[in-house]
Amino acid sequence: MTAVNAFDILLCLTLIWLAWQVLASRDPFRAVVLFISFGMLMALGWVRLQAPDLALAEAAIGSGLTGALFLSALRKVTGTKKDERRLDRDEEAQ
Amino acid sequence: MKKGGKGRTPRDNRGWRLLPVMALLLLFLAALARAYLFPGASAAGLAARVDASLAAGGVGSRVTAVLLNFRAYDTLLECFVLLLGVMVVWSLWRPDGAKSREPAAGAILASLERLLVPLMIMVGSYLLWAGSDRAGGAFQAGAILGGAGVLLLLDSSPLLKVFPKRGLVPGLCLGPLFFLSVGIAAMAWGGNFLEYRSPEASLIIIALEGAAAFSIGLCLAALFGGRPPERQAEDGRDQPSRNQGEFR
Amino acid sequence: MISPSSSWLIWPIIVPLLGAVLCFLAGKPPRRTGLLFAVLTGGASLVLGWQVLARGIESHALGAWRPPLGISLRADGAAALMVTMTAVTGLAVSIYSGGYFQSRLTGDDRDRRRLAQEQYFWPLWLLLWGALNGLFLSGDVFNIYICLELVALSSVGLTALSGKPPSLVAAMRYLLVSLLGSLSFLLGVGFFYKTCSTLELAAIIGALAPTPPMIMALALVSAGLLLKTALFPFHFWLPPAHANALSPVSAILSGLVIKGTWYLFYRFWQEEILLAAVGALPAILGGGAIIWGAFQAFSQQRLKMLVAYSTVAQIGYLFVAFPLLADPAGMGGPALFYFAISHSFAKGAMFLAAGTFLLQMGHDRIDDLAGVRQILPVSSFAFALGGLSLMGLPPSGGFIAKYLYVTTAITQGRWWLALLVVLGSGLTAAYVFRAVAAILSPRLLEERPQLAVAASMQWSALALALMAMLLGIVATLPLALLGVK
Repeated sequence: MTAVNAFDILLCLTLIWLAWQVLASRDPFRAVVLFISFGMLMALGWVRLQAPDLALAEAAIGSGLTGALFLSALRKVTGTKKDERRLDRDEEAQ
Repeated sequence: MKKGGKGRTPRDNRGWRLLPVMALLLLFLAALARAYLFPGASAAGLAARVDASLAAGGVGSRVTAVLLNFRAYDTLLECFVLLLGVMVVWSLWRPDGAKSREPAAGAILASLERLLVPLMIMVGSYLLWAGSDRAGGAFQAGAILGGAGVLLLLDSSPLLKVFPKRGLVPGLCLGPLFFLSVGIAAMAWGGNFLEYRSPEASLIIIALEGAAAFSIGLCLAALFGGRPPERQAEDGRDQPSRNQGEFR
Repeated sequence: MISPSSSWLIWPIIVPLLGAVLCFLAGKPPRRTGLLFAVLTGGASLVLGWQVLARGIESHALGAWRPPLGISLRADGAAALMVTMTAVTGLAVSIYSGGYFQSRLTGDDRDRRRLAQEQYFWPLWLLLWGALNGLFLSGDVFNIYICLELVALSSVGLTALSGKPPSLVAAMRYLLVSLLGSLSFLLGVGFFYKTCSTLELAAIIGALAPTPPMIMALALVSAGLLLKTALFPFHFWLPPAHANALSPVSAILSGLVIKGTWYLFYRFWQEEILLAAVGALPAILGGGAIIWGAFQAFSQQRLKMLVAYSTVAQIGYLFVAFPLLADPAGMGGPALFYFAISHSFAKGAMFLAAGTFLLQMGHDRIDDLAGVRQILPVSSFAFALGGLSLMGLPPSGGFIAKYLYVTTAITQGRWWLALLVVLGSGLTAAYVFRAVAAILSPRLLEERPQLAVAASMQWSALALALMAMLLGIVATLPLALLGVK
């Protein structure tokens, strides 16, 4: 019982710490990686709360797919050179 | 092109702009803290009612019964949310943006795909099937299928050619459209919108889940791809050889 | 299934959703499909409005599961009125959009992007329309949350459609604000469920009591809705988002989208216990919005920016009258709804007309618009009529609304409110005159440019402005509909 409680408390603290690290991180890549691990631990949290459906969804979507999306977005943002990042202006405002 | 007086730049008053947002976050914190410190008399919820109607609902799992029968309308709208996500992402795509670098197709990734993709499709199908009486269901299965799609998109795998290019948009629409038609068909049979009951219900639910999972998986993969398929008029400009990978 | 006798409650939601999917499936810009489904949606909504007027409250248990287990749709007079309002504004905007996208095609290589914009406009707009109807008709708070998500996401997509850097920035900000609002709403819904064991809207509103969990839930839900409605001081995201969007989108956002979240706020706050306790809060924020928005509108250089800030001010009116809901004669609700509808029509007409000027002249700098009435007389007239309704001059819907505001406030002894409404009208008159004076100025254009816009753009705006006027003449019909409780 106490071991389980200790595990839960540790899980909560780690989640809060990870969340803070994601927000405070200056390096976006690091933030994304931390976000993925946050999602994984969150899924564990759902398991502890006896919500296996949520845990599955969190692991697959919240952590896996969202992480992949972030990484791909990151690659597109950093892969664009400054002169290439030309957003076309709308013709209305000529 | 002259500058018409444009709106004030956001920079000069960013500070006070954040105040209402911070106040809102404080409110969240207070709400959660209060709920934790004074749990109070917890209400019974609807679990008893769900159990009482489970037999008429057609599936053994409470979650699936709620998602695909009692509150199927919510799930119908959720399917539209995903489709909407793809629409918005595609509408933001600009053809003249910088060409993103193609990642080098590594041998490890290719063999990983051969190993994992069939497995993921199998796990996805299992989750779909298992959803009727334990954890799992359309969204989880769709997410796994979407993961398989993302894996294939990582290096524009030749396996993508299996999926016909013209089938992408209809595939995305399949789930929402099928859901809508089931609802309307129920009305044609003289019932309410999305009304189905026990013996037929389990079959209808499996069919709905299958269509929804397929479209959800495709939506998630398309979100990752981020690029709409070329239309006929524009085909001449791009290499026609690349198959579904073109929406990456 | 579809007969005049059965309830049409579900069709104003289903038809546009179906239309959105079909538009998305179409290979080329789906103008015809889009227009067809816009007409069908509008028709279904009007039939529903007529049914509620003729037969009273309509309800439909989805899947034949009754609440609290299932979700049911419910149309009382207020909901049916909002659906009807959405139908009228939506039809005008759809017809305008057909001409708008046609007129923007110039035959050069930029057409590809314009066609791509139109291709996504129709499915996004129809989805938004369906989601708004779903929001008005839903009887379940969690379902309302999903509708809110649909509304927010499609609005963000529509805002970003123009592709201009300012509108991309505005859309991103809009998305973040909207998500925060949704989260707040969802947290509140969680509290409601925990306390009431139901998600049915009517049951929750009936159970509202000054107990701590209920207060917390209501605070969360209200904060989320206020953020999404852009009530002062949460308005910062609205003007750039509304002003930089494509013109039909501006009309949709200002005329319809903000009304969705406002309507929900009204649903939660119409109870008297609540109004007695904290009814002054939305009123104070609304008063701030009226004054701040009007001053900002007056100082704008661009016409669409002026109209967008005017929306900030007009949102204030939608909230300032909340204390009046406690009126024993029951005229508070009609006043609010009358204002909402006439604002939707008038503001829609003004944004549509402003978009016509922008497309014709290539800019919307107010001071350089002088002489535009020569080439666009119908649009100029529509803009002026919309302005009249906004100021609250008779005979317009805005006049009736403000008349109801002032008389109800005076009978309740709330002099400050009556004073605020009159003061706000003066401020509105100031910025509307500034724009109208430029547009109707007798100055002649040096050279008369070729007419570049479709006639449907001019006439749809005028039709909407005339609807705002008509509201001032035929007041009985909307009030009778609103009376269905």
